Amino acid sequence: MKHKAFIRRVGFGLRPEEKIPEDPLNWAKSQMKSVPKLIWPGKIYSEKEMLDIRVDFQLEEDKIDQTEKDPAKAKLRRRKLYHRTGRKFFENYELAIRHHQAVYGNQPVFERFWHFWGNHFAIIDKNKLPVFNTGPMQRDQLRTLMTGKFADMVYDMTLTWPMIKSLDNHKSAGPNSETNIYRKRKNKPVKGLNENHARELLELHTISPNAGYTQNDVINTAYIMTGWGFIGWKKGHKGDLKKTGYEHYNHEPGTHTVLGIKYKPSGFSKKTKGKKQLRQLVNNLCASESCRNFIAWKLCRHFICDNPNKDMIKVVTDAWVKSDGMLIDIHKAVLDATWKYGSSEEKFLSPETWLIQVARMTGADWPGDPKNFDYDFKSNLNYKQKKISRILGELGHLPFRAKQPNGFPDTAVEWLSQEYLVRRIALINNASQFGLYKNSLPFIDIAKKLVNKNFDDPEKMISILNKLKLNNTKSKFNSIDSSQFLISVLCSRKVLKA
Amino acid sequence: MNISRRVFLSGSASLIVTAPMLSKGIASNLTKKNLVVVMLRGGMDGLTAVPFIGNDILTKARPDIAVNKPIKITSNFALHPRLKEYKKLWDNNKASIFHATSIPYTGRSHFEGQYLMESGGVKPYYDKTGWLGRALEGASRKSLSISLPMPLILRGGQNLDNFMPSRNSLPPDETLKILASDYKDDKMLFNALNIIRKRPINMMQPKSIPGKDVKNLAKIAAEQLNDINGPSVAVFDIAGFDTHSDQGGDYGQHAEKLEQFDDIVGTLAYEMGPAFENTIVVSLTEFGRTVDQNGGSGTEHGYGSAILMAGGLLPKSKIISDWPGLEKKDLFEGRDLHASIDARAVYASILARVLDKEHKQIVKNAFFNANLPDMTQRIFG
Repeated sequence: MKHKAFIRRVGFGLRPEEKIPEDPLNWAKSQMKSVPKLIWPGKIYSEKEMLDIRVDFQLEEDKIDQTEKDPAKAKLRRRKLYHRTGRKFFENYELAIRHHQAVYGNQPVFERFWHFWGNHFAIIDKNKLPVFNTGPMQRDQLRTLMTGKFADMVYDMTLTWPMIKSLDNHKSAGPNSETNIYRKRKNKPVKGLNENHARELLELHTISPNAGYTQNDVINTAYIMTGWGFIGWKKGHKGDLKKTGYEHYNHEPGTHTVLGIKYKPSGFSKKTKGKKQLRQLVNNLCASESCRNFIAWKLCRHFICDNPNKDMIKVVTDAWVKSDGMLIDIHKAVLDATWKYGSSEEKFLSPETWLIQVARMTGADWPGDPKNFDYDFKSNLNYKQKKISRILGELGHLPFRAKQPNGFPDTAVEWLSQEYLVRRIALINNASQFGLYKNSLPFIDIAKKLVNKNFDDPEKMISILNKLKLNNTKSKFNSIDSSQFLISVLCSRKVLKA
Repeated sequence: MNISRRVFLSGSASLIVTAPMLSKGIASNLTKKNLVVVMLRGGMDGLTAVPFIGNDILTKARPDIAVNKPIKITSNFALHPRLKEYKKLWDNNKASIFHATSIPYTGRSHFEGQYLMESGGVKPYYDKTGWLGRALEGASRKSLSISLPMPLILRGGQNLDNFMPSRNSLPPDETLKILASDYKDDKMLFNALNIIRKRPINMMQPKSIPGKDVKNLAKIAAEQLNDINGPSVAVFDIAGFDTHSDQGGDYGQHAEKLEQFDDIVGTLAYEMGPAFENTIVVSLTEFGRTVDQNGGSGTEHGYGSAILMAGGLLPKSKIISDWPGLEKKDLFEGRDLHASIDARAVYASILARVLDKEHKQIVKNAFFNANLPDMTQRIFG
């Protein structure tokens, strides 16, 4: 690929003050070796702290619902609770950390892959997970797994708190589990099997339906997964349990067969006999050709083009086989394939990726000074604190709010509708919203600078910019009139389709 | 000052290419037949929306989530209590239900199922266009999807637009023209921008974002459908029917989702007024849900579900079904309501009626000449 096009394809483009890397392929590949530290200067809440806040919130909200009869008082108490627990704050805060990293970090290509995997293991918009849990899980767990083995990533992600919560595995029990034998004896209704998580582990996270599994395979996967859920319940406990783990009494005993492979119980202790089956299953799924092909196809589709061909995919699957599924090697191979095959292809960027590119290439003040996000946990959010989720919502891409577990789409035909396009153009038309203000450099200068820095052949675009005329002569104040300079560049085919 | 979309339009009125607006009273929009498809993603439970009450199998299979206060509409079937507006239409002979039906897909994957419910084919991710889009090809009708993406179901058609209210304003048309010349070699971008530039005024005005209020969205659709020059096909897209846990019965998650459908139907009926007489609204989902409740007081992915229809084009209210029964032996794979009729046959017959086309022609254009029986008599007879 041409140098600058490649930098936009696999990263977020170059900032105005950034140096153009001499060897873009190595520049990108070297970013895969280590997990970059988060550069956010403010407090970073751990996943565990956020779980505490979540549970605190939920218990108090339930209490208000159950005890406060006066609607006006209930409303007031609820508002106080919202403030105290950051109910409206934390998603914005998490998005700010994510965007600050993407715009100012020096491993932007790594960030692109992080965003990719976050969407691969999408947590749906349910049970306030986007508010308290999805973002923290992605940075505390997913991010740290990106230099290890794919199989380890799948296993750990399967057992994260938000994944279990969103796909209901904690509610699943085997028909012959201790729980259900006890229940049958006591004439209580049995606790049924929940196939939700099992199906998505196969379909979305590892092998895809191309592997040809049957309903029976799904049920057996669900059997293997029984017992994995939230642990540590004691009499009198209220609210969500905070720990994930294995409880044998919900597990379906015996040998379970998935895609012809038998998963036997191991060891003698009944508490752990069935525990290793999931790990073995995940290892086998991830070692399969179907899994390699599916994940390699998905990565190529993200970085190269909507319909990657066999040659592109083979670069990645070869690296996968050679490295036994090491993500560093897989990621590097994706970059090799993009470098090799990307020039003849275009890739329509998702709204969030495009927005970050816009911010990075223009040097806009985005997502804003981290100090803006100092929150007192007492008041409503101000404009600066909530604009990030408002703008991403307007563009149709709040990354922690996938509606379904297959995450957000990744092709032009899904992202390029009239209404999506209107919103991108309208955002640039109102440039102050994403941090380009009236008193910043004249928009024409910003536009020309970014074209020279980020386009391999800038002449054509510069000549278009030179022909544009202002109706309003007070151009130095960056009136609405001058947003045409930004729109012509940032909504051009070249920028929408890196 | 920001230039609003309205200002932009009045400043460059020449780009409005639609015919002069007729006053609504004179306009013969009674002759314009409308079709509204409401997609219910996640697997709508036909047995919760329209429970079978002829025996107690369902209530026994679902101790925690059976509908306790169903509204009886026939000796064997009832409506979910949250389908209040729908019930009013039923009472006015403007609602019918096709029960125990599904698209021909038994794989129980949402994403394959949703692809097929929109593509109208039998191979997931294979056909790149949708059945509604193909049916409309050459029909010189406009379509509007009330969603941010252009859904697969409409792709392949002409005169497609999609819409959601937005607060931001577009630049003047001169600026869009610059983009148009930049997009000229890219068909998708070029077409999208062209349609934007020709949008009617009321789609150009910045509007406050209605959040999750589907009633507001239905109002916008009604306004467009009532316009004689506007679309005659509208598509809604509601997600969230995948209730593996805490599905609820009279109340709860599935009930709330059904209420959203009810809000859309009720708002359309009210806002469209006489034009609703020439309209039919249909639901569409990827599959139904298991008869038995599962471990989390929810249900698993199933097969047969129901199609809810409403509108003045229906001659009378009725349940249409070759009811397969709910005994264990009657169920698909021993767990799901069976589908006795290919749902595509229902949609084909509705399309034939709305588009005034031969059933055979629709089956050919929209459904790849699949073997679909003509349901016209059963629905409209």
